[in-house]
Amino acid sequence: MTESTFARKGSRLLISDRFANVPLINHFGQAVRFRDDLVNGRAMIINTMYTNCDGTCPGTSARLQQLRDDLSPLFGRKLVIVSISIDPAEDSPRVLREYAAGFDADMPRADRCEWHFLTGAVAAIEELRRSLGFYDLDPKVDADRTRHAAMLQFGNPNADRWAALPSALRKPLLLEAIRRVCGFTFEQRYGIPG
Amino acid sequence: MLNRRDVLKAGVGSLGLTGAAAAEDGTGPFDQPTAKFDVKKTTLVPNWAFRKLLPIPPVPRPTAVGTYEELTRQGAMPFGATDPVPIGGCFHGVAREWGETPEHWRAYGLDPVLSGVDSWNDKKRCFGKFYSHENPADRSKDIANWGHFPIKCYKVPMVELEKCLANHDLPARLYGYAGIVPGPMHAFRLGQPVVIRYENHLETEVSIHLHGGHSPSHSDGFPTFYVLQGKARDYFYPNIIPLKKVTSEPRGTSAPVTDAAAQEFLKQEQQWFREIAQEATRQGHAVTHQVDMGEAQSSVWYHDHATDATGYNVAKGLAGVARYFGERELRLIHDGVLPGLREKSCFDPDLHQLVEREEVEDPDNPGYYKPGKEPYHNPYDIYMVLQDRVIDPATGQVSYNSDAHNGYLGDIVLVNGEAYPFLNVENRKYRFRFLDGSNSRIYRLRLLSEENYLRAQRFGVGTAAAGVVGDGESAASVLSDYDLISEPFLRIGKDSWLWSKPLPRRSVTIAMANRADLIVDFPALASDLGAGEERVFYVVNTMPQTDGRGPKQPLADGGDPRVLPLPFDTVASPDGAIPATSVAELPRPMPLMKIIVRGRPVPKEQDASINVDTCLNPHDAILDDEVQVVREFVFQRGRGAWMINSRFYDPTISNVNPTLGTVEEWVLKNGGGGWWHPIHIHLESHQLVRYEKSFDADAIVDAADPPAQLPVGGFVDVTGEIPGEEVRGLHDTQILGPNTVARIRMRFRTWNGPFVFHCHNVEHEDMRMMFNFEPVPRREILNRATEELERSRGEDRRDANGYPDARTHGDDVTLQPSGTDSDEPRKIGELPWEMHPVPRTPAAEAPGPFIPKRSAGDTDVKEGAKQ
Repeated sequence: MTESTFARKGSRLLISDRFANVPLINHFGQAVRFRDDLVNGRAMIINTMYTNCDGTCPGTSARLQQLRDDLSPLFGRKLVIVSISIDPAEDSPRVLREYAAGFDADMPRADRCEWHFLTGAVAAIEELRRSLGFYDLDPKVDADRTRHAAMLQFGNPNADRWAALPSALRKPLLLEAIRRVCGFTFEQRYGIPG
Repeated sequence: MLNRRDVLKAGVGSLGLTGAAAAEDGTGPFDQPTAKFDVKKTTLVPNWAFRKLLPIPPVPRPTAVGTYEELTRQGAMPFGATDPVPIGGCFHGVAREWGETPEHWRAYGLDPVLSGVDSWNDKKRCFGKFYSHENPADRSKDIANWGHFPIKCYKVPMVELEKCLANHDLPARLYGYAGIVPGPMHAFRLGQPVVIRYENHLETEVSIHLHGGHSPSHSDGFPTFYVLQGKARDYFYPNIIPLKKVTSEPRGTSAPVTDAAAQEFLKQEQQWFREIAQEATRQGHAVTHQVDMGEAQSSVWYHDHATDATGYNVAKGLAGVARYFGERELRLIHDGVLPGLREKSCFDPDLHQLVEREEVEDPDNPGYYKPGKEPYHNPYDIYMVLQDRVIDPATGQVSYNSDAHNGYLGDIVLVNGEAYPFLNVENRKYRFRFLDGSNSRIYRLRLLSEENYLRAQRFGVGTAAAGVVGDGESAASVLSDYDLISEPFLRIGKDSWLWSKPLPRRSVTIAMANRADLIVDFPALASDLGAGEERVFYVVNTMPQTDGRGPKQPLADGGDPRVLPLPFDTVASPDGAIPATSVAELPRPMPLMKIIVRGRPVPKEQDASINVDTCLNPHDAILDDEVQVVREFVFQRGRGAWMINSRFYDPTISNVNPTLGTVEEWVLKNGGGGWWHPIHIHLESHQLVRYEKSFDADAIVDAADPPAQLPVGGFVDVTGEIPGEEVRGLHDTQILGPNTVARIRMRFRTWNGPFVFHCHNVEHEDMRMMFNFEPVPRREILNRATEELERSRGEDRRDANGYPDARTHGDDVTLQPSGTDSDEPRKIGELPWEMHPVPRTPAAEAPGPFIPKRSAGDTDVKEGAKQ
């Protein structure tokens, strides 16, 4: 599997440059900075969630678990899934880890890509979610956590390609889109030898 | 929720609207169209403005021009000496219609058994003929609709390039067709097929849509019919005009009955077509169809259309313009009606093989024509694409947000890739074609004299207008102060088609993907100009817009700033149902470009003769009794993205299956929320029959929570408020203003396979505001035995429910279980005559987690193709 080279010289403006580089804590209790530690050359799938959600979040997390199972053999360590809690007051790292256990993500697994559940200061989470585009255009809806959109934002920071899709799409469609947008090699992208 | 009228009565402050208003001032995160959008840039003219000449994209030279036999012969090199891969031999192949005949073309008298050159000649015979502009009455000069002129082949690599934008020192990394932004300007002749090999050297997959074209599905830029990275696809544009059934009498036309010029022209043209039919009959061909001349396109464009990535790819530069030349239009140019060099502007050197390569190729720009030597060279016809961008001040790069839900809005407008250019013109009539190539900006264009422009810039319009003397136009036709100071021009077409006659205007509103074809009569505006003198005019945009939702401006009366009434001005109706409103305009116009007119007016006899009575391009209106199916589509926001009829776009299913050869009426509804949705329907022109508006819904003021649902009632027919020529003309993109409903009619002809329709706010499109439609043949066309059986029973087969199972949402027609009706297992996306995104992928493997590998022995893929 040869990686195509995205290394560039000169000035470049990446979509991911404006993602907030805020300090956060993952569900293993590790301190991370969002852009320094997570946007670092790996393909990413990002969503927002909170553990008390009885709406779309469990479904989205289950969908992410499926995607992780299906995509890990393809991407190996070159993929990271990031679930950002929008209820940081309730979702401590411990709570997140308990929640992650339901999706087989409470322990690092050698055969699966990393999956971080992130929490942090309210202001940091706000800044991050806005910079990632996880907000509703309607301020009323936006302020109501229960109505947050079940969107997956995914991309490849090296290739500067990002897209956002509703997690409710059929899984084959999501897989196809994530592979196409996030893939490093022709085969990862399109499932056929280049 | 509050009512707007209550607000007016009570006053804004007392109702506590201050908080809501603060959220609306453009500073909150909700109104930020992009990270670096700077609203000040939209109004401040930089000191470096108007110093660069308007770039005119060069016209590419074909890599080969030849007959079907010549281009498909063993050893032919249609794409240049360095590319040995034959047409269709590249990774994604060529449309099957290139070498075969689909079953349903039996309806036109074709024989599906034929292939190769026999099939080509069969198409040439059965797709009809039309007259030549040089001598319409001479039957020996008639032009075959399919493949009359030798086929032109082009090769267009898509590559990354560096170009300094908007006076920045640092070059922006852009994507360009053939390495230029905007892409090369094509000149296509109707009756002359074109094959373009697009090679993808970018780090993204692309799909090229010829916007306004009538092309096979394989070559139409269907969102998943990609050109994958490092691969190539041969786009086949047959450049035919759709056919219509021959009827004894013309049924109805777009031109009013009183329009004598159009009546006279159509009568004459029908006589030529009768003679063409007689000629064909004499040669033993049954004539059932004739060429539908009104459908000949004029101003089209091409741009990227890849799933999820269109907005980004277009913002990075993947767009270009193309012009079609049909015989009606060439005749107008030839006769000096439209601006141009008369017969010299109808001349294509490659058709006459009179010139050597050295004579026409630009030595400084190999692969392109020398300026002045290009086909249909016309110095008085200028095509301008308007694209707004955010340019990062630190890096000079195009700053793009993938998550701009409203739509990506720029703060600086590039005209043909240059910010604030100027254009030198002679003192004569010019044809200006404007394309709104922006992702989500809507323009209202006006032409201002330098004096009025400077005054408007300094004092704002409203105070300045009082001091400006109008040109004597009756007060009734003047709706705003801007109209008093704007110069008049003729609008001759919208989107891809010329109208039946010109319409005098002082402003023109174009939404995303719309084109406006204008004639500016400079001698009338600068009649007193002497030799060596010059006069300056400005093309300005007056549409206030600070986010991708649509034009808006906080209204002085405290009304909902998000909602503007309509995409056009209205005059009050006597019964009061329609209020007199005009679209709010910027107090200070936003200049786009400067035009410098020089010298004495050319003598009238040397100038174009077009005037308000000129008959241009009348077409057959679709009458009520032709409509067989009515469908409704609601364009709405939901579940965090954009939907049609509460569904997200799914490229693998067919949402609509019209029957080929029938007429449908579609009701396009804006699903509320104050967004403007320009709806573009691929493949066919459509005709607007009714435009409705709910003014009641506008009256609801709740800045924090605009009505997200389509109002159920209170719709008023405002069709009469739109200029008649625009209503009657052909469209390919229909703008849905807030709380509006458009009823359109369209014919489905020639091509089956999947096509799409979608919102042309491309961020909405990327976030799934798109549907597939798949015209299907009538069943009897597919099966002659059935057809004859049914005919013997006297059944009416005008049945749109040819494929009832595929008609409703969710029926997956492109994901077939294997082996239903043939020995071959069905492939993904493989209906008869449909191409699949990934070659030869067995459908049985599709629902699995991965796109399966192609088998090594797959013969469909030519490994020798350009990698």
